[in-house]
Amino acid sequence: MKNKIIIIVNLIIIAILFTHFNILLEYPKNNEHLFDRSIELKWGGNYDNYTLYIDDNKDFKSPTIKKVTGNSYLINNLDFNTYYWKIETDKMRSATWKFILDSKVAINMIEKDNKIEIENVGNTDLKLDVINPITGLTIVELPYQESKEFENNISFIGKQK
Amino acid sequence: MKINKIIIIILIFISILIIKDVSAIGITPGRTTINFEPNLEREVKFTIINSEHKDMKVLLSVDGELASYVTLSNILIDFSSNEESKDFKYTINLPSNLENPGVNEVNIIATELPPDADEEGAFVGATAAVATQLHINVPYPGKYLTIDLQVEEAQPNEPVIFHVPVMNFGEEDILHAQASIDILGANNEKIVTIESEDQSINAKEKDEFVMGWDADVNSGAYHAIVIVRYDGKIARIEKNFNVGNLMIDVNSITVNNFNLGGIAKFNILVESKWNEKIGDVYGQMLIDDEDGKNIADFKTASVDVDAFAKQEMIAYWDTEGIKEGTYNGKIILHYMGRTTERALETKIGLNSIETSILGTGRVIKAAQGEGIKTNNLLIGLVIVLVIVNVGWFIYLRKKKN
Repeated sequence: MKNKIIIIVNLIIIAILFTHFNILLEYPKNNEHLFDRSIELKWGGNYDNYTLYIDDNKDFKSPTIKKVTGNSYLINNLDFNTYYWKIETDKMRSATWKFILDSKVAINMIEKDNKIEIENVGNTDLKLDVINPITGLTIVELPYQESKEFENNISFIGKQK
Repeated sequence: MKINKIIIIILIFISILIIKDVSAIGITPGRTTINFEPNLEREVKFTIINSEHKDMKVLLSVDGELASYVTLSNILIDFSSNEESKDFKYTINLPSNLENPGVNEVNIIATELPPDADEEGAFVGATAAVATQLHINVPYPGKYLTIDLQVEEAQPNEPVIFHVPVMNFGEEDILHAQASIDILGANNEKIVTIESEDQSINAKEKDEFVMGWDADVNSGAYHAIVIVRYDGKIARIEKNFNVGNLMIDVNSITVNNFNLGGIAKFNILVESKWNEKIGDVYGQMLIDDEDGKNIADFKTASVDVDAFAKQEMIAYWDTEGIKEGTYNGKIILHYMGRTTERALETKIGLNSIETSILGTGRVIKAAQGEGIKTNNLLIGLVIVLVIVNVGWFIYLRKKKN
């Protein structure tokens, strides 16, 4: 019975040490594929100040370094790439995790009133091949989240710009 | 009122009739980049997205000068409405040599077939397609450096960090590469030049120059010109960046020659804290009664504010029906898609209006003492538990002996 109590007390001590002093990365999960170019990195820990390292190189050769108070940091307008990140304090260091920001090429083609509207519903600017059976190929830029109207009976190929 | 509702219902009905059909298709990733290697064989995964969740047929094809080196695992794909996406792959089998250096593009095209397409995929009419691109980087003879520039912007007197990713697209190693950055102000005057260390870059490899600059300048827009000199050659890139935040603030609000019940002329003095002229700036004043109900909402005309200059803006308010008293409100400055908002207290008398600007809108940082206390408490708890644990251990051992 006493041995069991000792084991339980030990486990409690280890759990307290682990949860209080450790820095556990939370989001994005390791190896997660994402589409949103604004990403809020989140981690757990009980420190006041953290240093965030993020790089597209797993050896952190030229990282972006941010001093952070709190347990999250929002990064905007990331390029499509694979990123490695870790958190450090003056006492502890987290594991290194990786996330992949993928581009998504997606279009909606809406036929209305003898016209065609093309919406860019992906996460990147597009160059749109507009193939008219009479006039041939033209290339039109279609920025992210924008739409354009065209004549009917035309074919479209959306490509990452 | 009823007529309006009927018109809206009719318009919605007509628009539903007009919208005949929606095609929707997506693909990810939009691009995969590989470096050319003789006789390279590789599989590349991609996903087609059925974003409208409908039954559809998709035809896959390959386009580009190097299309013959790409083999698809599927050609015609059926999606059912409960399938949001499907994973596929294509295989690359490159030859021992490619002639054109630089980026060689192959497009793997996914075309949503119209419902009336026949078994072979033949059809007439509009089609929507998306492509996942394969970029094959074929090295240039000799040394060939491509560069980019990413700027970590900062507030005045804080470090701005310049990242200059470089890629040696050449077949030969670069022995000496050095980056320099000229930083120019709003009038193209050179503020400073910063230089990197000299470094080597192996053939077909990426690297990065990271350089910092303590931005001991005013808030504003600046320009960086990056030149990388490598083994007798030059690569160059330019980019604008900001120091601090675009900002116009309210200095004072005065009203002269006022009689209650008449038109009050507000002279609003604003000041730019930016190093470029800002056009189309206007102010909006809102005044609330003691119950918080808005009793006034009026605007100034638009003005241009020169760099770091003060500028007066005029607004008029008809005070008919307004009583003497103290009113809360706010002024909002609108410029370049941004706003500056300041709380106001306006004292209205029979022959005067006095407006005070309240607060500065600065972000107040929370005190950080609590976390330290919690830390100390937990550390103490852990020490106590360790002592108790060791005590038990010694006690049990002695008892056993």
